[in-house]
Amino acid sequence: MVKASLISRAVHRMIPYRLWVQLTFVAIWLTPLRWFKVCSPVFHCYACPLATFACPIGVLAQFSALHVIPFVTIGILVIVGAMMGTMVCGWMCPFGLLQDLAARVPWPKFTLPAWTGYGRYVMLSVTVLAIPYFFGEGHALFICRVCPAGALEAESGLPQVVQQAWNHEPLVWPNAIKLTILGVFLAAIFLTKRPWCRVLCPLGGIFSLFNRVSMVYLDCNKGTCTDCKRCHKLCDVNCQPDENANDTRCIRCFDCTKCGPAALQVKSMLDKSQEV
Amino acid sequence: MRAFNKIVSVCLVCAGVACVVFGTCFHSVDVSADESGASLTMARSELALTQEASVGGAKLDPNTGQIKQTYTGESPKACAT
Repeated sequence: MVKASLISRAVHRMIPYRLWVQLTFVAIWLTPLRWFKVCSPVFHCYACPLATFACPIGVLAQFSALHVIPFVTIGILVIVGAMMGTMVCGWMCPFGLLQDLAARVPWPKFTLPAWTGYGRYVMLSVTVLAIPYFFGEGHALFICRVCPAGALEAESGLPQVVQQAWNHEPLVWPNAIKLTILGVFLAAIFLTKRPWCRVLCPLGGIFSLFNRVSMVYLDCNKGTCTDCKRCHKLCDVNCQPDENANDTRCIRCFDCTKCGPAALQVKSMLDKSQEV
Repeated sequence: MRAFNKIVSVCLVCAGVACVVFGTCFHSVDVSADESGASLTMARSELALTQEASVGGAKLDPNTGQIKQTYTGESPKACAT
């Protein structure tokens, strides 16, 4: 028998309230901190004046262009990844929240093939590492020049345009490629669930590599599983949690734990095995 | 298998902490700047370079392989992208 730790019990209890946790992150942690010029790790664009620990993708790309290893950013990614894996995507990411809200709009959704998940690693290796390394930050496909999250949320994106309009200043729009990608992305979120996270997000791609070894993980009890495949239907990103509970495509929303037999459970490395 | 994963995750967290400590306290990069006609090389901490690079204040010179400061006087305020 396994005695659940405080962490796995807390996560398990929070699963029905995941949307509220996501909203809380946006409303309490991310937005007000930005007003006070404080950046939160992982989420805020690094262009924020105090964004030393901010958007790690931007930092990786900029340092790749400078041919310097960003130890602090790599360290933060490894710590967060080793502790939570892609829980960041399912529970905290404001871009993920936007996609989750759009997925609630009753509209026919189509399924993406599983191989599209490798697009994240292509995006990471090409636009974040290779292009900046070989062509510098001026290249049109440098990640920050194409990232729809940056266009929508970052200081240099649409928020800046709104602020300029508010102040009656001349409008400086993000570049055409960025706006086109943002437009395609905004259309796609109504047609399929979490398209950015599943196909292109380089940050999710990095965190997904830690899913198998992270401290918080999903466990499938084969003895309890009735092979009803309900978890397949509950999964928004088309994983098969009964076959591979810690798939790299998983965003750790833990919705699959709502399957009837409770074969899938959130566990943590701190859980203790106990003899009964 | 779980015991192995536990060891791996603990090792990863320790490696991550070591990277953060090294990057914050010990890692610096030479950045050359042109000050009143004379070229000057200064060591910048990783954190300072992150902020500098984010606003396009530091760029790699492809000819010399050196990182150069792109401005004189006040640093740029906005992101170049």
